[in-house]
Amino acid sequence: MPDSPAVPNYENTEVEALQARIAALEAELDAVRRTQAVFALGLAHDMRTPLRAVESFSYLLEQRSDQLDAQSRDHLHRIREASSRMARLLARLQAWMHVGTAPMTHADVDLSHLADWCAGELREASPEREATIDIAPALHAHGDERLLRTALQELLHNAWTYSRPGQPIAIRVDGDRTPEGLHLRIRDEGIGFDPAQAGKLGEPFQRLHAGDYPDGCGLGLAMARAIAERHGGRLRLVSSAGQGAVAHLFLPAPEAQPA
Amino acid sequence: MSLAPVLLIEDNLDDVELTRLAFAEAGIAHPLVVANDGAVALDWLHGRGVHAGRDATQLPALVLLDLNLPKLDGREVMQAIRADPATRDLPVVALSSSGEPFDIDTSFASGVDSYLQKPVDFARFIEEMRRLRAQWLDGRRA
Repeated sequence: MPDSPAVPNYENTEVEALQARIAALEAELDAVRRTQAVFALGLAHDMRTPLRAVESFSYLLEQRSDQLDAQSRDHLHRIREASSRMARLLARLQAWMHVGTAPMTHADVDLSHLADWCAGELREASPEREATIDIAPALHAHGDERLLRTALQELLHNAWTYSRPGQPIAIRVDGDRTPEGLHLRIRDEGIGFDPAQAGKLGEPFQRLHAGDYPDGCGLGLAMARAIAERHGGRLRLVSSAGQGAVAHLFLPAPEAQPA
Repeated sequence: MSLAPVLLIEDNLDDVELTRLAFAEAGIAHPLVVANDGAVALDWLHGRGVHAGRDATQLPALVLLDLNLPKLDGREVMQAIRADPATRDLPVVALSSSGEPFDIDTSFASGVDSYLQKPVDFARFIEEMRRLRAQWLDGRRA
């Protein structure tokens, strides 16, 4: 009979002490996350007021731009661009913080239906793009519908945005149900990314294609990852440059999700 | 007969100026009276304190109420307005930078009739002022 693998022989008291320590660290981590969320939401809120002044008064100046010389018009245009970008960034920052703090409800969620809805939004926003978004039917997961819709919006938006310029967009959404939960895949045929940079994706404010796509804030994948983690799941991104990318979203079965 | 004023309770002078400009763009002819904090606003409504002698029977057509105010915050001002028989029926619209559900819920709980998040985009603010005019001001007289 082969030897059994060695199992550490912990005393019950040691196990209990370790469990208590883990629970205390998780509580500490939650408290830090809450403080961060309150800080970021407060900051985003307070920055709206001065931003509103810059945006609005520059808009009013723009209405009279025929009275300005060419250089002043150029400066004004730069101010308008910068304030618009800041407005987008603040809105995205608020959305990101909400993803981390919004109360969750749990139910059966039809991800195929949500993906279809998100695809419709993308087509409506860019009707000039030729696009095929193929969505497998009956992809169900257990989770918060609003958050899961946000995750799908971000992943599909990412797949759409980083398609090959001037070529038809092709996206496939499918998945497998396993005893552990759902493994959802969002596959595109876009520009992909350098696999060496994969570790950075999903971190806030990481923009691997910042030069070519200046409108991104680097928060979309961070939101999708945070949503996966709030469900006890995870997000993995796989690509080789120029070969498209696949987002793997793992969502555990109800019994494996955090209470 | 002159139009009753709109009382704007707002401490940020940029927002006061933008509201004036948006009123003009939206064709709102009601005069705008500004109170820079909650206590002064209540003084104006009741003709007391710094506004002693004002005829308190002359109520505004509408109150626009910022939430984050010095001295008394927007919800405290709202509670005072609703608690007084002379002012409790005034239409009040909260006007805030915040879109947080907590701020919206507590504003309605304190008695505001409507809640408007101040848009960053001025063209949208003008649109909001047009809607506000249609909903709360057109057809109302002093």
